[in-house]
Amino acid sequence: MDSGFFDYPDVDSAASRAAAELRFLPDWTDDEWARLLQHAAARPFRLGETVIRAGESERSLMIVVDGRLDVFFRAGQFGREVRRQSCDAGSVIGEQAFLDGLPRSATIRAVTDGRLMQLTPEAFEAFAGHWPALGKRFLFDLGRIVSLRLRRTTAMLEREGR
Amino acid sequence: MAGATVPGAFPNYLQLRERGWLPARLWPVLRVASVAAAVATVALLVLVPDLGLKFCWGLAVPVLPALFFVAPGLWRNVCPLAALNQLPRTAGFTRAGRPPEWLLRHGYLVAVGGLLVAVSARKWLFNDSATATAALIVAAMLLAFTGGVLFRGKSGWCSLVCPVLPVERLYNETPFVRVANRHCDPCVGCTKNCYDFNPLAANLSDAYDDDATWAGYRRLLAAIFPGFLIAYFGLSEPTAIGLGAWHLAFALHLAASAGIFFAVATLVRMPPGRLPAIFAVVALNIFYWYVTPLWLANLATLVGVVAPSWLAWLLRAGLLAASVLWLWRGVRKERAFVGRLAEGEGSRLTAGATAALGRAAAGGQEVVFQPQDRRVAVEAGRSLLEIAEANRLPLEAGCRMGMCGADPVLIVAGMEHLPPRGDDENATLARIGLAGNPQARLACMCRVRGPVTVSLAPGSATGGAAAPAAADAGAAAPRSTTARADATVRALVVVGNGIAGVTAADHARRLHPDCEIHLVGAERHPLYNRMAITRLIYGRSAMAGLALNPESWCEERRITAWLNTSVHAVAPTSRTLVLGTGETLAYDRLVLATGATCLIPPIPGFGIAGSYGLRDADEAMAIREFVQKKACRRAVVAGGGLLGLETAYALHKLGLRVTVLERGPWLLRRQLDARAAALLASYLHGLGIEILFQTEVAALVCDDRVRVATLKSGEDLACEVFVVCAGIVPQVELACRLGLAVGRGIRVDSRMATRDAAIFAAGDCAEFDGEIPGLWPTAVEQGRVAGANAVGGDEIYVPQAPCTALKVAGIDVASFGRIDAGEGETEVVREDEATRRYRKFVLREGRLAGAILIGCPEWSLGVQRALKGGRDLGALAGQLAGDDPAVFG
Ligand SMILES: Cc1cc2nc3c(=O)[nH]c(=O)nc-3n(C[C@H](O)[C@H](O)[C@H](O)COP(=O)(O)OP(=O)(O)OC[C@H]3O[C@@H](n4cnc5c(N)ncnc54)[C@H](O)[C@@H]3O)c2cc1C
Ligand code: SF4
Ligand code: FES
Repeated sequence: MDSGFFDYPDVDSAASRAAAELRFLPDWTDDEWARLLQHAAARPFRLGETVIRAGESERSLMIVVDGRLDVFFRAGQFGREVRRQSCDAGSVIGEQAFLDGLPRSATIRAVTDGRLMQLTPEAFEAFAGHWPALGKRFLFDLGRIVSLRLRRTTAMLEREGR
Repeated sequence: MAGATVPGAFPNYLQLRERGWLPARLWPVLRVASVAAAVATVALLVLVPDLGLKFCWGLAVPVLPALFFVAPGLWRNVCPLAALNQLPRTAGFTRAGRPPEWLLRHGYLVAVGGLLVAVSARKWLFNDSATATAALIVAAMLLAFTGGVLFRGKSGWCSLVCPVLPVERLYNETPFVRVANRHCDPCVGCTKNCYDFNPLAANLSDAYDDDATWAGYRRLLAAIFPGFLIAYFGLSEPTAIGLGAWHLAFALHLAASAGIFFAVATLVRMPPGRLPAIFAVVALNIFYWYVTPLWLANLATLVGVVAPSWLAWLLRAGLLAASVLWLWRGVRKERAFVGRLAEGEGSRLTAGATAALGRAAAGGQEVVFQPQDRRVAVEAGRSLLEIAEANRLPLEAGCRMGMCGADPVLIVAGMEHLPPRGDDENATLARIGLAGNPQARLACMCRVRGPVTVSLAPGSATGGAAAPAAADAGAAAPRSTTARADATVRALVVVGNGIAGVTAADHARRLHPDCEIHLVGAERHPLYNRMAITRLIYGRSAMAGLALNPESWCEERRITAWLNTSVHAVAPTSRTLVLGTGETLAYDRLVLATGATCLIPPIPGFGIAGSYGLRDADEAMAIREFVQKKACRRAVVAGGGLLGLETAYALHKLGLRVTVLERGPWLLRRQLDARAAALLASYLHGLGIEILFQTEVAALVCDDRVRVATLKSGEDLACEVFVVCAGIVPQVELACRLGLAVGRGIRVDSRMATRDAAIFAAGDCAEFDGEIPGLWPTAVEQGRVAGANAVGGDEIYVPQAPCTALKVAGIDVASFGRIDAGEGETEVVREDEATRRYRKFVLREGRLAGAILIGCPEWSLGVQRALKGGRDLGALAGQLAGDDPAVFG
């Protein structure tokens, strides 16, 4: 499993390679980021605040600037909330709803104060309207990441189905 | 999560060492002692075989599983075999080779094989043979040492093929006592998922490994382990049933155990780490169930300490309790582990991008929206309306200039961080009954300069829309305070309940407290925001939110509203109107505010299903309905003016492919110059809206509905929805019947009076000084003048420079007054290519005469005020090319 638990020194581990693959838009310059972020809205959050609620049909893409948030899924027959993941600076959240427009599958709650940048599909459209080439690269890279994750999920299911 | 640091729940040995509880110097001493103890045991076995066997198998070995269970790291550090294995590395004579690939992958099987053979052989060999046992120990020591000479790290023995390793790893996932690896300095990455490297993650990493064989070996050992121990302790002695039969029975036990394991795994869904953990503790309890009394007995014979008989029970029960605790900890750890794996699945930014992000988010003003309790941080200079829209908060919009009143809000805190209310805003707030509330604002006019808390539900907050309208009646006081109501006016009729008509009725009532006022409108809806009707095409909330006045508005003002009623005919001599229903309405004064309709050029085919003009709400909703019913994909909009572009954008948002046809060489010719229009066109093009210049439609090709638009150039465009936005035609029929002077519109003087002194006209139907601006603010101002004058007032209409904003999301386009410098005028132009911003100011005698703003919303309020105020900007002209909108104060 490419988890980063066994990043032996001086060994180019599968984990760090895998993580590098998931980097979003790794080659964008500061200027290109600035153009994108001009269309994003900064959103501060407070400890305990629910930033995304499962089932909501709100579809913006979010990038954590600082602070930490936990991701909860409903699991099991009683729909208990299970903490599944936590995100901090640089994490990209919500790309699925951003792309497919379906209701949110997870609840995201802040465990510290912090800030995130929020990009609604409308804001993205405006960005891409001004900079079509950047918009194309943005979508292509997001699609690449979603596809990679689908591959990894498939692999994980194969493992669990063993 | 990647990178060398995996903090938190899964520290590696280097991170664990920081909290080491034994001084590092002590470990070599302990190792020497343990090797010495091993040598002593061998000596004992050789010299005093009985005692040696009892000590070795009866006392020492049975303690080891408990040690693996409680403090596995301790044993990994002091095991005599490990000490010998690491000697060549410490002393520097190891060859440090890499074990062959097959051994790295299948070493676990070798180790398990060694374990099974060695343990089962105890039954028929080692338990009774001191010599064989001594030989076993010596052989193991030699092998461990040789492995250390040949292979790097601990891969020569400890971490790859040592037969005890699989047992250690069954129990080492949640040690009660953590001891960091003290052998490896530095780590050379000798084996996969090394326990010594990351003790807490090693087992689970195996269980979740991508390599099914790798993970399977480990499950297999857990599966057979309880059966293995039952066989070992439960079967009769091999001597009693024969070695062959014994081995067969032994194998059947393993098979049965594995069978149960895999049956449970199939029937009960569990995360991969759980069942092996359960089987491992079951095996451990089986082991100590048998061993505890024997061990206590051996202790008695060897040391002479006789334990009380309940002690065995106590120890077994203690182990059981510890096992439950251990399992529970394992469950929690697996959850944390899966969480970490999932984190590895998340996409992230590079460090550089994260830094850019930090810069972008820094230094904003915090705005809090209630009742959602949504906080946002924004650049100073943005309006509350823009901020709400960017964050998808429910707020309507229309003019974006404080004229329509679509976006009232209450400022809960931070009013001092907003510009003060201006005249237009006050007048609009007065119309919607909020001027008396000092907290009320129009969101489009509130450009934030500091932290603000806003309530988006002005009706629900204290003193909100519920405040009696009467309190506002005088808020926007008529300009001539001496005006007196004309007592001879008993009945006023206003025809048209658009903004001009409603404003006229409003101001008539303010001045004249008791005349009858009738407001007759042909449309089905009370006053709504005509400027926002394109939202009805793409939005899902239909008319909700489009109304501009509270429902009780007419009633509170004692105005009789006639909706869905048109005025048909007139009887001028008796001052009576005939309604479409046949009813009649007598008036002393009449205000005509009949507005305008779309200009429809003669286009063959126009009028067939799918062709539209767009002026009122019902037309907009009809377009949306048609697009859904016929599943339309292609639309053509004729006209590249404000209305045409807003319509094109609405159809685009509804999912259609849209082409805009513009007769002239650029878009918005009345509002923009060529350069600004090019910026706009490039944006619209980027959105996917096609724009064709210098073309016109020649004809529509239809069957039962529109199919193709043929251009004058001969080109054919696929077209299912065709919307004409080519300008307006004032509605003057009624005026003609009344015998009033009519040009393009109803001719009025500066008091908004027509040729008949009892009849006034205002808004899009009125022509003053040869002009029909067709704009909302004009309709408001003319309505105010006409309404007041109709009941005795003495107001004068002074034309204002036109202010317009394009309502297309993602680009701020605003135009004010003059857009090109003429005789005696100068221009200041500033363009920033990289950010697509454009500003142009036209100055006449040092005063602002007009402006074009693209992408500079923070300038528009100042420009609006400078245009109205007519302040001399002569000295500031130099700063107009700068970046600070504060030039306008
Ligand atoms: C989509 C769109 C966007 C616009 N955007 C802007 C903008 O951004 N900025 C701006 O300044 N302006 C804008 N305008 C123009 C603005 O809406 C008009 O200038 C304004 O509505 C004129 O108001 P009015 O009261 O004079 O006429 P109208 O609003 O047209 O009202 C006239 C009313 O009278 C009724 N009527 C007519 N004849 C009769 C009769 N015989 N009996 C009874 N009732 C009758 C009509 O049904 C209608 O309801 C826009 C217009 C549209 C359509
Ligand atoms: S992988 Fe590193 S820590 Fe583990 S045994 Fe090998 S050298 Fe030691
Ligand atoms: S008053 Fe704010 S949008 Fe019209």
